[in-house]
Amino acid sequence: MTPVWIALDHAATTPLAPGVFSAMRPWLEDAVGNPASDHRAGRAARAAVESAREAVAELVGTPADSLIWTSGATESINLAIKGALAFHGDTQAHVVSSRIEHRATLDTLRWVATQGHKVTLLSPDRYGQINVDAVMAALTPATRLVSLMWVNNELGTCTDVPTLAAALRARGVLLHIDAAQAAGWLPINLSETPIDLLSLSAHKLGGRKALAHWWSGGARGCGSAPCCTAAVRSRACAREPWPRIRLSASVRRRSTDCRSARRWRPAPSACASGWPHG
Amino acid sequence: MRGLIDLDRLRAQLGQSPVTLVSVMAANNETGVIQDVAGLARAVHADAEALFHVDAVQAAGKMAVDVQRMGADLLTVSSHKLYGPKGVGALLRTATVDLWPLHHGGAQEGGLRGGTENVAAIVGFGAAARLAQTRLDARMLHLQRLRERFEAGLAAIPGVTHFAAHSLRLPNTVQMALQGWAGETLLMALDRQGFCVSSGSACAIGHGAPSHVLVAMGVPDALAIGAIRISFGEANTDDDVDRLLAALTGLARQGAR
Repeated sequence: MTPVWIALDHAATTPLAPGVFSAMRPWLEDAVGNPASDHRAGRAARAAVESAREAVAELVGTPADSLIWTSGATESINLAIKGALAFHGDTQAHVVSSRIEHRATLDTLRWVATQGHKVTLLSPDRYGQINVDAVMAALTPATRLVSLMWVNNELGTCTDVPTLAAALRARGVLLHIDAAQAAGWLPINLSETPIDLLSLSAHKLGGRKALAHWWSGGARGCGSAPCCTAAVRSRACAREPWPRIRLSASVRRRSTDCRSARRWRPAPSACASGWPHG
Repeated sequence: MRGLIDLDRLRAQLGQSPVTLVSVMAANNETGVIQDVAGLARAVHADAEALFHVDAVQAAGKMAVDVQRMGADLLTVSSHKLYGPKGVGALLRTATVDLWPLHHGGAQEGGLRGGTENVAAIVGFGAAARLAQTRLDARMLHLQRLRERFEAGLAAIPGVTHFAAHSLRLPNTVQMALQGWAGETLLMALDRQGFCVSSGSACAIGHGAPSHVLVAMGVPDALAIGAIRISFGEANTDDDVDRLLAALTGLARQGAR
């Protein structure tokens, strides 16, 4: 008897949706153009890239020119966090995030902390939520960036991004949202929700692996997207205190020690203090 | 104007100041000129503790690429230059080289390149690499024959400049200019006749500027701005070459007018 496979791991990766492979096929089989080439094959490849840009931008309600292709959400998250801090020339900025982020964010922030920045990682409440009030309470005058996931990849819990985005915009703090688990599963409309940077992944929404993007822009306004899952609805009202982790100078020094070993290891134990996935 | 890295100047540079890294293309993407990579490696490793990185993107699949024989500590290859899919490349490193990742997040590739693997593209790269290895000799021979046929025909067309003609070059690449034509305009004229060629390299968006490669070789701007690159592939035929020659002959007459 042939064993039956039932796919129940769609948060890890989704299969290609019907029509996706047939859309890709001519670009694998026939098309020879480099989108940077000026001849007709190059121009056709460029047009295909731009048409896809419009489609993905439309999915999240943003103009196509605000989208940057990356190899995947990991690269997108790296570009958002490191790029924003570097562009503003910050050397000792403060970043607020949470302990339940994806490793792409946590590993990036661990590196960011070794570069002299301060990172505050919020803990979720007992329902797995990151509370907007807790985020706002963690802000300092040095806070440049808040980076949080919209939907948690393990729990399926949601952050109230519309409320958070409006509050942060009023404070002038950049907001980066990891929407890898959210896009395609709940409505995202950047023309209503003032998110500065948004990371997406194709293979979590029925597309090909290693295709993602990074959104940058600043549409103003506020709105609310209905936010989802049983875990969210069961939120009740109990609020846990918000234990915070601030990277002390000693932690940063230990991180530097790891660096002096030259070879990067994903989660060197000497660097691990206080870091999830450590 | 042969487009070769001057070994003596490299040695002088290495002797002058501490060098951490030397990074060189095995074969240039515009001219096709092949560097004496093994010779450069010997200089790097003899005179300094510098690491030697080889960009073998254009070389792989068109000539023998051997990390050890090239003396490379690090070597870069790309899938879509050797008949694999776009969106995947690879870095080869010898065991002695330690690296920091460019982006963080995930233990993939030993923590050096976090993120879910592009499985389909990687598998395609692997298949293309196997083919490149088994077919390398036949491919090189075929490309070399096409190039020689083309270059012989080119010699009969008036007003042609063939860049780095006397250097050791990839079997498939010819960079040239036609008197009276800017590279961009020549490219468009050929495009209208159904030929896909490049002016400078496909990555040089910014246009209208002379090729930085030719300028670095000492070619005057006025001549460099006329450059187009023809790079033959496995599927090209003698007939393709003859048609291109006929088209260029016609355009040479127009340009001369």
